[in-house]
Amino acid sequence: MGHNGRLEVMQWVVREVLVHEPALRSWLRKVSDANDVEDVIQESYCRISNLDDISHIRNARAYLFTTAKMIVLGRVRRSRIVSIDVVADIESFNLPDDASNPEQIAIEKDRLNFVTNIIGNLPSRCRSIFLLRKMEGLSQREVAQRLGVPEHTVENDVAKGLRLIQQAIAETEEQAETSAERMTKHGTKWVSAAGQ
Amino acid sequence: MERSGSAQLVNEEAARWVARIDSRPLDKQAKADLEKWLARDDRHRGALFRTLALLQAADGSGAIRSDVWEVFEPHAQVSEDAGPGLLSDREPLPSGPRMGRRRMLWAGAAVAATALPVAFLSGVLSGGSEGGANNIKTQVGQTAHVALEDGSLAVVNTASRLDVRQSPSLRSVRLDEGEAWFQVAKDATRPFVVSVGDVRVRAVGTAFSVRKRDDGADVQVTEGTVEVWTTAHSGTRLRVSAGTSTFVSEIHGVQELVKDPAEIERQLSWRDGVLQFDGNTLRQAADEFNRYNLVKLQIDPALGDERVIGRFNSGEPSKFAQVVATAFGAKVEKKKGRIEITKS
Repeated sequence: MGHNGRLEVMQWVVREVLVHEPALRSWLRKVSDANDVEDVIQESYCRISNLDDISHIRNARAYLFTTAKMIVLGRVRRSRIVSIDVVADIESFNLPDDASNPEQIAIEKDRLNFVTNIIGNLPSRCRSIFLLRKMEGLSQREVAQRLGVPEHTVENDVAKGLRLIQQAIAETEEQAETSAERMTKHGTKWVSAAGQ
Repeated sequence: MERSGSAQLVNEEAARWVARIDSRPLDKQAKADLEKWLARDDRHRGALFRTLALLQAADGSGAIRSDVWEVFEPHAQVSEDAGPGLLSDREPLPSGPRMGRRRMLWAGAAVAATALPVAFLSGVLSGGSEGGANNIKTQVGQTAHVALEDGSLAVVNTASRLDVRQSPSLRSVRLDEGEAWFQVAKDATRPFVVSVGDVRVRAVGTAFSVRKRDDGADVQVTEGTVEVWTTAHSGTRLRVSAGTSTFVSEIHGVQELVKDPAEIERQLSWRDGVLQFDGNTLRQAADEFNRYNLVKLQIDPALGDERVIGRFNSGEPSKFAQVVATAFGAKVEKKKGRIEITKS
């Protein structure tokens, strides 16, 4: 397949998949070892990256969850010491149907902005870099010239920013699960959705 | 903690790679390094893809350069020698009762099947998708996992053809060729019906396999219950429950119900890329291998009724032939497009 197809898959991920990651993480924490969650997420995206075509996928959330479920089951079976409860839990798993609830959809849409919100909380130079890129479409080199810093500094800051974005998303579900008060401190938009 | 640490390290490396990719075109060395890193672990590829998506979500940089995508192109071959490469997607599958993986001995030789990569299908999906329709096709030797849009999962066996249509009131699958196992997502308002010729199999939230035969279909249920009938006698529907298999003849309807969960588990081992024999004749075993391979096994009639037990990789008929030769003192000859096993 051509590069365009791969780009299309990525744009689909940006548009429809990332937003379900917090819910997926919450579920994964229930059915698997907390230490495995990140591995399963990475493996899930690996499979998604191998897709040649996404036109047959109507429900991104269902697709993401099914993919992760298969990975978890594979791990459970490979581990050989299998807890019956765990397998029963995973196998009885059905897609959370709250995705069809209009209120929930609105919440998910808000969450979609979470990457934008996270940028607002980045350290200042890091934040400037992401904003310059987003607002003015500058390349790393142009950003370096604008800010009067070496290019490798910009590259390092982009890496640092991405790392913080990765971490912020991983923490989203923890917040959703713990307390609304804790979340309000972060001042993010989806906070109001806490109880759900 | 170590695992988590390593996953976090992978994320960190991915973040550094994405920043590097974003800064300037990859030179030859950088590209080679990146490819090497990606090939080392599937999780690397997943983390890189995810982090690129995050960058795109963060700064809206839609025009990602083609040199980025080059490193993502899966290596061309998806066959057994793809190793743990990018497209390898082998996962044992969920099934109903969990059977211990039975270790079988055959003529004193333990035969361990090694896992074969299975292509994650979607790329093979073709045809129009209007009205929720999809054609799914696998080639000889290929097995595919397909997540259907309703959240159900289809695992499609070698040389199979399916037509999937999902409407608001019905989820229907027509099996034109081959075999598939389905794990059906619960949806009481939309029955899930598989049709094979005139045979019908209906499920609501269950798992079962259907294999097309010349004059009907084999149905094996691994979870829950399904209803089977033929179009000529749609009033006579029979329930088949977990652990039970049956053959439904297009002319005579349901033949007999056989309750043997272990046997079903054995027969469905194709989902793991494995063929298991438990006292089958060599003739039957060869027929099974021939479903999965273009190189066909030819068994000397004098050996055809010998019985075999063992676990084999479905894509390795020559290994099977070798073991047969040792066990029965037979002779193996490889010819164009076939492997002959003769009594010596």
